[in-house]
Amino acid sequence: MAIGGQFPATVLNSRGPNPFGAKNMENRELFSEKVRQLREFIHKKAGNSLKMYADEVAVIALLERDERFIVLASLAYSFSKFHEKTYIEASKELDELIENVQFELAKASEALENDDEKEFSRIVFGCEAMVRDLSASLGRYIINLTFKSRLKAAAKMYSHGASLGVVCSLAKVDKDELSNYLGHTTVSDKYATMSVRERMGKVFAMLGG
Amino acid sequence: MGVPQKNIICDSSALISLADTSNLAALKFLSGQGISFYITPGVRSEITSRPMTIKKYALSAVRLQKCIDDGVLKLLASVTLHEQTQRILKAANSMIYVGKKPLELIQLGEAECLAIFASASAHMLLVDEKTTRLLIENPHKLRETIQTRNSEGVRLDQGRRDEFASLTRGVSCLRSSELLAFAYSKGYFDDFRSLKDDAFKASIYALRDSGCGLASSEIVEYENMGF
Repeated sequence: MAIGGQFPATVLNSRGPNPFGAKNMENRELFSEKVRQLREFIHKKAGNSLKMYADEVAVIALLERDERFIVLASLAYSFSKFHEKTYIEASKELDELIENVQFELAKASEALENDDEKEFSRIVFGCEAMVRDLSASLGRYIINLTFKSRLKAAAKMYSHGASLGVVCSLAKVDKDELSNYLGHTTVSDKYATMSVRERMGKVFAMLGG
Repeated sequence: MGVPQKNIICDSSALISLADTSNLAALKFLSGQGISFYITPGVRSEITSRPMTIKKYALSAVRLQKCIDDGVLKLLASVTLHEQTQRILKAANSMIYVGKKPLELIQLGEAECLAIFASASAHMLLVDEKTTRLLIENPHKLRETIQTRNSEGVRLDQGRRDEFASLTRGVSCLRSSELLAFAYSKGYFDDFRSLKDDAFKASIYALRDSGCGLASSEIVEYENMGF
């Protein structure tokens, strides 16, 4: 045991999110289906469907370990949030954004058909950037919307069993931020395994009463 | 005759909770009671290196860095840490399957804490993060919870489970809230005099909001706790 020693920073988990622009397009059919659904829900301005879609896709992201599903979830959460605010829903800017995102997602579908993973990734990340830019210009309530959407996706993945580290790495959010977010939810209620009295009994036994 | 030394390995989740709620002084207080707190290189990176670059989290990171500088948090590594960490990652992350896919459950920081536990002759693992705790305390509960949230079948690979249990034998978890309760019993809140109960309970609430992973029923238990 070496106290104060150094340990090389190595990525130990070789099964992380798919690298941006990897050679083989995994989950092409699943992506095609999810992009198609997203386009439909955005077109219909279906807030509840967008939220349910985002929850579902966040879990897929965890199972597939692919950040691009997080991006799709982020887009869905963000659009559902836009529709909650009347002044945003009625804005010309949102109409333009919907049109642009729909156009880009159609190109993303084409990229999938052509097995062009790099282009697909570029487009979906680009769509998230477009949403981020608009949210930044729409006022205090909606600032950092894509970040909050990623937090929601991360919380969803966390509630499905993965650790903070795993979901933060996948969703590209900070542990502090997610911890604070989770503290205001009831996620922990589902994971209680023993009473505080039992836990304290162990602590006193191990550390001394 | 000196007080027997007790060693606690700390995960970033609990340290962040303590830092965010201004309760890092409990570590120093307990150090004076014969308890040593250790972190791994991966955890150090998670609590200082990265958050130090983000203004929003820099204050907590600075406080934690001071704990390291003051020797309250000691850095720990071993020649077998890398290999042992890999074995734990492999066992943990292929223990539960959703459909045909293994669910990635833990990552470097958490795995390092588990890997260093035995070689550090540690007594407890300080961890707020629920997945790591559940993997040790009750992986079947984790599987059941995942099952209720997935339409696909969820399977626990018993072989991997046994391997993980073997690698983490003897690991006993406490959360930041239990650490604070223990510190309370040792007089950590005595400076608050007649308000010490209020200070403790307020700290528990603050910890919950900082991600300590406390269930509502546990909050009630803490409220009614008498030492």
